[in-house]
Parts: sequence; structure tokens; C-alpha cells
Amino acid sequence: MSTVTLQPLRALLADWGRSEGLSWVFVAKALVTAFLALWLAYRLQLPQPSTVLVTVFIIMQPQSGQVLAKSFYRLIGTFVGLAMMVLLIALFAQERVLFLLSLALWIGLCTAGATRYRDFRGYACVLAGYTAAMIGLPATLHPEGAFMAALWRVLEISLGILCTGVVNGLLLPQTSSSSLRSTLAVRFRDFAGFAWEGLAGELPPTRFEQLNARFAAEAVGLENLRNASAFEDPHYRLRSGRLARLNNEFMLLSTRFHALYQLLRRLHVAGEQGVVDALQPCLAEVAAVLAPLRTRLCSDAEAVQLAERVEACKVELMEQIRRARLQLNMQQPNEAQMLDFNTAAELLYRFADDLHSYALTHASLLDHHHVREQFTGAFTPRANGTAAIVAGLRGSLLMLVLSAFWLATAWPSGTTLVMTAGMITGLVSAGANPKRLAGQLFVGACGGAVLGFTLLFFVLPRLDGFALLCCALTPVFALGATLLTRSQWSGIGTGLLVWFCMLSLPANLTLYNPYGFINEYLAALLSMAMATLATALILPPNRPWLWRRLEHDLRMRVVFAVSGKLKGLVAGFESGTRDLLNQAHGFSSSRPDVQRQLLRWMFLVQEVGHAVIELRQEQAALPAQSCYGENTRWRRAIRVMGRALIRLFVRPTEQHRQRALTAVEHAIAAVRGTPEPRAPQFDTSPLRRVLSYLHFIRSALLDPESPLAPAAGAAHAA
Amino acid sequence: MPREVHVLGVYMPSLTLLFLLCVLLGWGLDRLLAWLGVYRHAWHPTLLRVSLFICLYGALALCIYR
Amino acid sequence: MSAKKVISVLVSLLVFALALCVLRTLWTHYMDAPWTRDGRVRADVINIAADVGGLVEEVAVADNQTVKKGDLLLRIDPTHFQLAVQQAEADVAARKAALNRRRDNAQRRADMDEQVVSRESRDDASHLADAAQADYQRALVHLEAARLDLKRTEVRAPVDGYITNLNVYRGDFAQRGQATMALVDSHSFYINGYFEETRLPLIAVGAPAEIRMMSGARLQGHVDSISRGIYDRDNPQSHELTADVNPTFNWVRLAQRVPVRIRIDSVPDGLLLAAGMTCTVVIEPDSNDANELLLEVE
Repeated sequence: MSTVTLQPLRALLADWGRSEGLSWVFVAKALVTAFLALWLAYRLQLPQPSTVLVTVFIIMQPQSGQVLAKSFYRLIGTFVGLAMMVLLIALFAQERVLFLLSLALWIGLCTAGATRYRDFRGYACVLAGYTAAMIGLPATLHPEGAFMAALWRVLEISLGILCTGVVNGLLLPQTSSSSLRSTLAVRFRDFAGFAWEGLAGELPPTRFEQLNARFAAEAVGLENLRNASAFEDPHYRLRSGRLARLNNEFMLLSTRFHALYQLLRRLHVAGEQGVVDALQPCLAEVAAVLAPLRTRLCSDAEAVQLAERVEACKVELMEQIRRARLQLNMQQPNEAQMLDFNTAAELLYRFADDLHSYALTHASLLDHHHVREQFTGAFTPRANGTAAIVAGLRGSLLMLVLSAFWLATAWPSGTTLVMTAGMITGLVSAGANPKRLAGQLFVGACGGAVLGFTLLFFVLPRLDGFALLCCALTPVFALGATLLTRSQWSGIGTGLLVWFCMLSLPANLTLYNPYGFINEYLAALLSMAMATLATALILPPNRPWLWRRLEHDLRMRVVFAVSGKLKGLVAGFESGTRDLLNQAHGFSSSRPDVQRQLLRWMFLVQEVGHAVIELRQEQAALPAQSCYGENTRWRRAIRVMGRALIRLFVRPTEQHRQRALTAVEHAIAAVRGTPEPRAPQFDTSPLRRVLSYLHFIRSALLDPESPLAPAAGAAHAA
Repeated sequence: MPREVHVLGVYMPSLTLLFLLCVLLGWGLDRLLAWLGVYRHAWHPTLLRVSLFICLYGALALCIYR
Repeated sequence: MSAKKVISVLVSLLVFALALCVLRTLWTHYMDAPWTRDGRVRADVINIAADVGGLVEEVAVADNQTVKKGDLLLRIDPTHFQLAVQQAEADVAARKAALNRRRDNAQRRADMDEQVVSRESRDDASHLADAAQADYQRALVHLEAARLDLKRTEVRAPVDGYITNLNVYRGDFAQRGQATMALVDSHSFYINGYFEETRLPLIAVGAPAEIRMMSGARLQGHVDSISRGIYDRDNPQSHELTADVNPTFNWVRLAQRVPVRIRIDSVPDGLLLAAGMTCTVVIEPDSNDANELLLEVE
């Protein structure tokens, strides 16, 4: 009886524990960390307990691996910033103007770095910039104490990091590694479902696009998670290389599937029913392998079985393809149909092959040490260089304007004014929408000012002792931490907590100074308002200028594929293209039409670029025979085609497209006209494979859906 | 071992320096134990790692004070 | 499987408990044991000043020189004082002559009978002689004072020690009573250890102490005495004898530090002690009292 009534309650509790419960745990951990750090700061008589708490709240993350990774880069950034600051003070202690100029330059550099690197390294840049501002500006007034101040700052920041790391790791830890594991499994499950639908011909193009955008975002996110997990869990550190390889193989897999899907779609559109019918049993063979994967998460142990199944399927698939070809041959197809069939069949086979290597890598995670660990295609997400320079210049300009204001007015709170500007430009530079984040930080700091004033002048004077102080601070910290857990308001949470701690956290022996307090907050809020205005007015990144640049960058990936160094080219191409798409998607989130256009460019770039890379790999691995020589006709034709493609993707005009098409057709004819002493099957004949790639490039260039098509080009130009 | 050391003209408790040394040592030990796969059998790996680090640091620090 | 799990939990907890023990021992040794990083070498420092003013004729010592008790440090130009002695001697001679005249006069009057000299005149002469005697005595004292001043033109070391902060040169004008150099008493070195008030119960007078200098040298000593008063830093001034109490208080209370005086038993050869040096003081709580207290704390 009781179990019957308890069952739903338990399920309800478990459900709560997975969703809302996690936020509560996070808030509780934030409070424990903050009070532990505050008590230690008071007890150890550190000069600025506020720095300790600011550190705690800045690196506070729900996942412990993220905390450790952020801490590590925070320490590095702090040391670099401190070294820079001590140097600047040594050089320009007497010259305020030169000092502020070089500080503005440094902040600009750091902001540009923070924008450029989209992983934890960017965070180190943010820290290097704002630690310099935090130490340097107060030290300009007392240069003789700068070195000691710098030492104390290191101790305070280390204490904050230590407390946060220990509490987050020990109390109900939410590990990054488990999140990594579940993201990997869910992604693979969704991909299996998506591929299954695609092979069955039931996948609508809009869903296809959505999922591709999502996979691109997850590819970038997983790379960050992988880094964080390596910090947190030795188990994952040993598998770091394999996880990177897994991520890369997944990208390869999805690119391959994308190519297959596009080719099948084009066949449908072109009405080549005969070819599609002939392919049907082969597609069904692969779909049968995927079918059980789309409903449940695949564990490492299951991946072993999957690998075996896919291996068996590959053998079977080869037979199927041969049978299907015979069947098609009986219908007396024309040359183009045969080429279509061969290309599609080869893509399908390669898809199965990629699936096999993905499964093998996944299964290798079971072992502690494995040969697959050796992987060098590491992935560094990078932002557009111009966007980074613009962000840096914006930061420098803001610093210069505020510094000039400080020098002109000799405002006692000028240090806070300039310091806050330095912190804000760093903090917002990495986000997709800096204006929104700066606005949120401003709102949060306003809330912090009101709460701080009330607390400091009406509540704290009535209290005595650390326990009561904690009670008084709890509502503020809990509110801030709750806001941090809601991703749409996390900016407000950061603003509230950081500026509350910076400006209204009492020292161990409290000094009540309302004038100073109001002055400081006015300076901080004014500076934040200026920063918000600057991000909104000076070339904000989510505008057409950056979309055009990113589109250009995407197209330049093809140039990279044609002319880049072959070693590591696949990994670099796959990850770089997805990283670009992910950024572009973030920056254009307000305009779905722009997002679609960028996505279509990405598809085209992926198809052509990937085919070009495979072509190059094929040529690099040719056996030494006279028909494959460097100066044979077909190889020259392919080089000419590469140049035509570069021209086309640098300046996509109809004329260039026609030229590229002619070059591709010329290359196809040249390959066809080359006699080859091998069986004309794609597993034995390199020329047959080259032909498939060329044909695929041709079909991509001819695709009416692509942004290169005359209609789409006209619409884009208008 | 002296309770105070001076590094580059800064006079600080040996505990600070020892901490840095222990971080390096502990990191090496951690990598070794992970390589041997000890943490796979642990119940709360983070707790075990933190405890091991504290034991290492505490043991070395007590050598100074004994 | 479950046995393995139990073992792994047990091992984890065991290591955790061990870590807690180690941490606690370390904390007790760092926070509660009677030792301090904040120790200072102190010594009696004597300010040497001239007893008489005058031009400095000779500085007999160099800065940082070791001196013995009674060694000449400084000579002030004695000419003025020699002249003063001569003047006083002349004065004594004059007074002596006057005394003799008065005495002779009085004797002569006393030898005559009452018809020749009036009684009044005879008494006057006798009193004048007494006054002359007093004048003579005063002149003698003046002479003595002038001789003393002359002797004091030579400033000598009052104790064994080291000259430091020498700030007088030949040709200077030395003001009377104004310090011209400092003399560190070489027998007076001791250590002031500033101990947190929480550790004071573990410190017994007479307990042996080890002093570790920043240079690494070690000295032995023992607790001499504990100071009975320090200044209240939170309430800096009190006007008109009323208390000026700070209305705010620390959120986390911090222990005050009280000076404990350590007597140095022996200084190793070749170790240079200077007043003001920093050192670490570790007091060994070997007396039974201290041991019990430390056990209570642990």
C-alpha cells in the first residue's frame, strides 16, 4: 500500500533532483564556498577580502571540471597580468598619461585575445587584462606598495580558487565528465535517428538544417567539455586524445552523411528514380544497423558490439552494391546515371566505414591505454580576426575616454571608473551578444548597489559577529547564485555578485563611509553604462558587417582545403568550418534568414571542401605507375579545377561558377580518358574513386538549392 | 628545515613554498596513480585525491614543525 | 562486487580520516603551539651625552667600535675649564687671605681687654672671621666643581658595549645633555617574542626557548617574563580621561599579540646579534603545566 503511494513521490523527487534540485545544490555550494572563503580571508587578515569573493563568484560553475579549468586559466591570467602591471608601474610610475595609455593598449590586446580564442584561453586573456587594471590603477596612487599589493592579490585569488575547487569537488559534485559522457551518447543517438530517417528518405530539409547547426555547436562545446574533464578526472585525462578523435570522427561522419543526403536529394529532384531504386537495398542495409541505435544511449560496451555489427555490414554492403550495379546495368543506364549510382554507392560505403571507425574509437574508451589515444588534430576554436581587432579597439577606446575623464576631473573614484571599464570589456568580449551581456551586468550591478547600500547602512550596523553577517549576506548571495543558474539571466547574476562583493563587502573592521560608497558605485555604474553604450554603438558584432565577414571566412575554407598542408587537413577543415558556423549562428540569432543563408554556405563549403580533400588524399596515395604520374593529363586537369574553385569561392559570381563547372567537366573527361590497368571497382581502382569525387563536386556546383545557384545568387546580391 | 625562507628578498613561511612543491609532487603522484588505474576502484575519486594531497602536504609540513 | 565496493568505500574513508588527522595536527602545530614568527632581538641602548658643553677636541672612538667600561669616548676642549679651575684657585687664595686677616683681627681684639676694645667690636671681628671662613669654604667648593667639570670634559664609556649611530665630530659644539652617540650594552641582549594571546597559557616563566634567526643560526634561551600590558589599538585615544570606544567591531575576532621576554643563555661564537633583528621563537612546553595545557588544546 505504502509502496504504491511512495512510488510516484520517489519518481517526483528523482525528477526534481535532476532539474530544479541541481540549481538548489549549486546555490548551496555557492553559499558554503563564499562563507568559507570569507571566514578564511578575515581570519588570515588578508587586506582585501572582496577580491577573494569576487574570484569565488567568477569561477563558480555548476560543473566541477569547468571550475578547475577556469581556475587554472585564471591563475595563469592573473600572473601574466601582474607581471605586466609591475612592469608598467616600474616604467611609468611618474607619468600618469603614459601609464594610462599603455594600460589601454594592454586591455585592448587582452580583449582582442579574449575574443579571438573561444575556449578557456580566452578566459586567461580576460583575466590578464583585468587583473592588470585591478592592481595597476590603485597602485598608480601608491607605486611604492605595488609589489606587495600584487603579492596579496595572488594570495587572495589563490585562496578563492582553492575554496571553490575543494567545495565543488567534494560536496555533491556535478562532474563535467558525466556531462561529457551523456552529451556524447545523446548526440550519437540523435545522429543515428537522423541518419536513419535520412536514409529512409523521411527527413525534411528544415530539420536537417537545425540538427546540423546543433551538431556544429556541440562539436565546439564538447571540445571545451573535454578540456574541462581532463582537468577534473584522471580517468578522462587518459582518454583525452581518444575523445578528441571521437569528436573529429563524428564531424567526419556527419559531413559524409550530409554529402550522401544531398546526393540522394538531388537524385530525387532530378527524377532519377531508377538509380534510387537500385540503391534502395544498400540504403536499407545501413539503416538496419542504425535502427536500434536511435532509441537508446549507446554505452562503451555496446560500442564493441556495434563495431562488430558495422564490420559485418560493410562486407554485406559491398555484395549488395555489386548486385545492385548488376541490376542497374540490366536497365541499360546512360553514362551519367551510372556515375550517379557509383558516387552514391561509394559515399554509402564510406559512410559505413566512418561509422565503423567511430564505433571502434568509442569502444576503445573501455580500455585504459589504447593506440587510438595518439591523436594530433587538436581543435582550437578561433573567432574572426577582424571581430577580435574591433573588440580590442573598442576596449582601448573606452579605456582612453574614461581615463581622460578621470584625469580631467581628478575624481577620487576615477580608479573604480577605469577599472570597471577594463573588467567589463574583458568579460563581455567573448559572448555572442556583448551589448546584451553588458546591459545585464549593468542591471545586476544596479541591484547590487541597492542591496549593498541597504545592507551596509541599515542592516550591518545592527549586527555583531560573523554568524549574523553570514545570515545578512545569504539572501544576496543566494539571489545572485540563483540568477547564475538561469542561463538567460546569468549576466545579471554575475553583475550583482561581482560588484556587490567588490564595492559593498565589509572589511573585517567595518568602515561606514556613505559618501565614499556612493561615489564608488556611481563610478562603477557610469563606467558600465558607458561600456554598454560602446558595445551597442561601436561596430557591434551581431550586425551585417560581421555576417559578411564570416560568410567570406566560410568560403575561404574551400581555399584552405585546396591549398592547405595535407597533414591534419581533415581535422582542421572539419573543426574550423563547424566553429565558424557556430559563431555565425550565434551572431545572427536575431535573423533566421541570415542564419539559413550562412548554413547553406556551410553545406556547400563542406561538400566541396571535403571532396577536394579526399581527392588530394587519393592523389597523394597513388601507386607508382605511369598512368598516375604527376604530369598526366588528368592530374593537370584537376589542378586547373582547384584553381577555378579557388576563384569561384573567393568571388562567387555566375561567370566563375560556369568556369569552375567547365573545369570539373574537363577533369571528368580527362580521368575517363585515362586507361587504367585495374578492375573498374571503387575498392581497387583509384581513378574510379577520383571520378566519384569529381562527379560529386559537379553535382554540388549544379545544385539549384546552393547559394551559388543563379537564382539564389541574384537574391543574395539584392 | 627552517620555518621561514626568503625567496627573491621576500620573507615567507616555508609552508607556502612547501605548498608549491607539494602541488608539483602531488600532480606527479596523481598522474602515476591514474596511470595505474587506482582511481577506477575508488568510491569518491575526488575525495580520495584531495585526501591524498592533504596527507602528502601535511606529512611534509609536520617534518618542519616537529 | 559489493565486497569490493565496501572495501573501496572503507579505503576512501580511511584515507580521508587520515587526511583529517594530519590536517588537524598541522593546524594545532601551526595555530596553537607556543611559537611565533614575530620575534625581535632587543638590547639596552645608552644615549651618550656630554656632561659639559664645549667644543669637541677629540673623538676617541669610531662608529661601531667595541669599547670597555671606562674607555675614553670623547674629549671636550678643557681650556675653559682649566681657566675656571685657576680662577677658582685664585678665589680660594683670596678667600683664604681674607679669612686669615679676619681671624688675625679677631684674635687681636680678643687678646685686648674690655677697656681698649668694645665688646661690640670684638664680637663683630669674631663674626666677620666666621663669615670669611664660610666664604673660603664656598670658594673651595667652587674649586672642586671646576675640577669636576674639567674631569668631565673627558666622556667615558659607562658599560662594555658597542658604539653605534656616532653623530659627533671634532670641532662640533657639544651641548650639555644632548646625545651624540649610542652605546649598545653588550651584556644586555634579550629577545622579545610577540605571542598571540591564545598561546599565552602554554608559556611558563623559565621554560626553555629556541630562537631561530633569519640567517638560520639558532640560539638557546628561556622565558624571562611576560609583559602585563599592551596598548588597545581599537580605541586609539581617550580625551579628557573618558573612554573613546570604537562603535564597530571585527566580524572575525583576531588575537592580540603580547610581548614575552626571552633571556638568551648563550650566543654561539661568530654570531652577530644586533638589536632589532627578526627571529622566530619556539618555546618548548616541557614543564608539566604546559604539557597538560597543550594536551587540553589538542
